[in-house]
Amino acid sequence: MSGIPSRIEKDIRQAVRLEWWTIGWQLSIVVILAFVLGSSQAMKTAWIEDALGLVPACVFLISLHFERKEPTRKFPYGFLRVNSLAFLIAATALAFVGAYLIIDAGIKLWSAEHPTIGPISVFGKSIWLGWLMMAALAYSVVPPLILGRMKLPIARRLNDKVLHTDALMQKADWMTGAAAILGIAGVGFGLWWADSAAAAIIAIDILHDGIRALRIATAELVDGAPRALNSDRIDGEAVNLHESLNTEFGSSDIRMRETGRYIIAQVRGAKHPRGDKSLNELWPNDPERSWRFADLSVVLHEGPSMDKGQNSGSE
Amino acid sequence: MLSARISLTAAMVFAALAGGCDFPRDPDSTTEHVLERGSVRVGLVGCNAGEDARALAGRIAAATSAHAEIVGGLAEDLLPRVENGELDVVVGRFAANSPWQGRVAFTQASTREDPRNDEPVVRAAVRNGENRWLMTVERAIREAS
Repeated sequence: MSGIPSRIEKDIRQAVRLEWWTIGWQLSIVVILAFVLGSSQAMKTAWIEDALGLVPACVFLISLHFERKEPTRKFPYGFLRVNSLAFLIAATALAFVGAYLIIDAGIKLWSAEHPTIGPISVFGKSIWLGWLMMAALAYSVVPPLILGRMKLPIARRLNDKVLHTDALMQKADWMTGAAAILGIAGVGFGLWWADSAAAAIIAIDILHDGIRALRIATAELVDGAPRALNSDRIDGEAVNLHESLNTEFGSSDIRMRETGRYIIAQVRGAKHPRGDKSLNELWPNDPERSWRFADLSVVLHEGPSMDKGQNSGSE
Repeated sequence: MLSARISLTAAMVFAALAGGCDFPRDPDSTTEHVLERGSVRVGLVGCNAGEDARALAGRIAAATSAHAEIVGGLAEDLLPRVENGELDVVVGRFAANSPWQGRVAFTQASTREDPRNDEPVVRAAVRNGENRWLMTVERAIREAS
């Protein structure tokens, strides 16, 4: 299996467009926040989270590039799993950075570090830097909120876990911005702990994103059964496919795994070969989504050897 | 629903900010204490701190309509005292990348020139986190330069 099914090309193009928009907007946020970073822990944490927000977008674009590549002699199964590998690396980084920032904020709270936010000169007028920080944070909330909401339905249609995680992370970004704004406002009210407390909340969110992404990527890399987009449960379409294959081939030994957005199945001990039935015909779910069923191997039940009479096909 | 929650959070923050005219505030109330006492406890670094440093100490006191209670000494003695809140401000020659950076908050240089990071120039140091007081001291420097 290689290339992108024509039925999802339009959604893929839209997703690519949104990811480039994401990279552009996120970069603008990272640059703007960098100018007003100051010594606030909440600002630093929000800034790191916004910088990390670039990772899923980049992973999506890179993995899509590989998904389009034809299999080679050295990589006969194609490059669909580049997606999972890149995602695993990104998720590990996310989880570690989240854990580090929680510890960092914890140390600052424990040592009662008072954040110093002084004035800054704007057009010759001296104003408190905290105001600019809050304005920059308010700006940082808007693009991810809109882009996240736009990506969510596309991610569901494409069954793309990277895009889905990206959309959820962005959708939740408003909380990061709001927490950091409250942290800075707290400092303004003389509550020195507000800054580190807000930073800890944001860091917990980063760790949560990292662990969620880590579980998804790991399940795919260890050939786990196809998972639902937003949880660790087995995907509903995969469950239906399992039943359908069971009925069709009279075997209960059906193994399914997920490679990128596609499902690959193997029926062992089948009572009859696959014949000329196409994968589309065997797909019991919405026909529009039959592109997900990418490959099927059928191993016939003929005597003691399980590997006799293999019949496989793909579309 | 989501936008309503965001609007509510923003409204709460800005209503709270609008309500507080003395914003930002000092967690340890340095500005309030200076105004109550009518005096600023100034540490002046070095026996020959120079006219610039003395003038700056005077300007800081004038900015709060208070008089300056000046204590002379070495930076190593005075900076821990401002860190603990025993002094309100220390004035002396400090580089922007002073090893004390982080333990106390340094203001900008008292002159308009842009000094190198490792060049000691006259500036003030205040207690970390006392943001209103820092704003007051910075304004005193800016208005004079």
